[in-house]
Amino acid sequence: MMLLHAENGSDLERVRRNTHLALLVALASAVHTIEAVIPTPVPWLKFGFANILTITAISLYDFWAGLTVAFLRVMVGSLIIGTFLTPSFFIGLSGGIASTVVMGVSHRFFKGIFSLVGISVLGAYASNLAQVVTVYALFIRHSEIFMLLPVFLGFGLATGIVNGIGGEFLVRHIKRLPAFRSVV
Amino acid sequence: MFVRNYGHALPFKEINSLIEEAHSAILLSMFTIADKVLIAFLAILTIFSYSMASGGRQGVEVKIEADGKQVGTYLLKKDSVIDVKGVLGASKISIRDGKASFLSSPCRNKVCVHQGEIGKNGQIAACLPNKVVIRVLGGDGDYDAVTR
Repeated sequence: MMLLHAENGSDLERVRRNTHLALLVALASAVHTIEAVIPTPVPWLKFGFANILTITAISLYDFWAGLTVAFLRVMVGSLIIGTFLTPSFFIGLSGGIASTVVMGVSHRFFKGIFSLVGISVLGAYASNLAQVVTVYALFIRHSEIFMLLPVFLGFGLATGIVNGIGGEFLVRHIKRLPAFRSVV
Repeated sequence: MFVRNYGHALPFKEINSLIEEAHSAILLSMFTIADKVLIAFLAILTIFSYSMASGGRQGVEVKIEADGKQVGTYLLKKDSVIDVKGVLGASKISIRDGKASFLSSPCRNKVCVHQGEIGKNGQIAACLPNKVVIRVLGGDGDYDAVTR
């Protein structure tokens, strides 16, 4: 049971937002950590289920909320797995930030046109593109690395759709919870 | 479809609405028209770029680099096993039947070993932790661009 003392409504909203974001960051970090154990055909390809929480934060609040969740998730998650400041950390960070920027902008301007599925797919493409560019810029300076791009993008399309459906589910469910009623 | 609706007899209204939601998801009702257009467009783009990238010819030689420096170039038709000293230790690279692959590497994930054999022109395999990169060169497509 949590007791809050808030002077006025905007204070309460701020505290509520921070609390919800903390919960989303914790969830995303947990998903990020569990995902590191799940085997994939190529270790570079990840499902990115933690992105569901980023989408949720963007959908419930705004771009900055999504960026908070994405950034802290990569930080905390990499500290838990032990990949902090390794190549996979920078690759994940670039992908997380790029996808959040694209998803935040597309949610801001195309909210009624795309559902969370479309926004998530755009985010997945941005993420994979940014990751390949990061690998090229920091680790392998060969343009042949871009030959891998189609594989990454095809995988990203599938995971983007799955994550979008997951995010849509979560947001619909969350919006019915009493704790989130005043937010939406 | 196979969920029987018990109506008022069902004690948990929440579950009922969740099942309804699941059905609507299966019917893809949460996809807007713009979503479907976007997904179709990106799918076509991906398939197109895949056919562009994978259409390579059989390569002639394999170039090996360690820590950014060139180690050597080896002919693909000559079977051999090469030890390459990387940042972490020695990576074993095999050349067999016109294809090159990582046999073993001192890295943790073994991404390079799982990557399998490469033999087409322009293909690349890399061990990031050990900073060893092998790529296939030669063949007919060895141009940056072709203009007519």
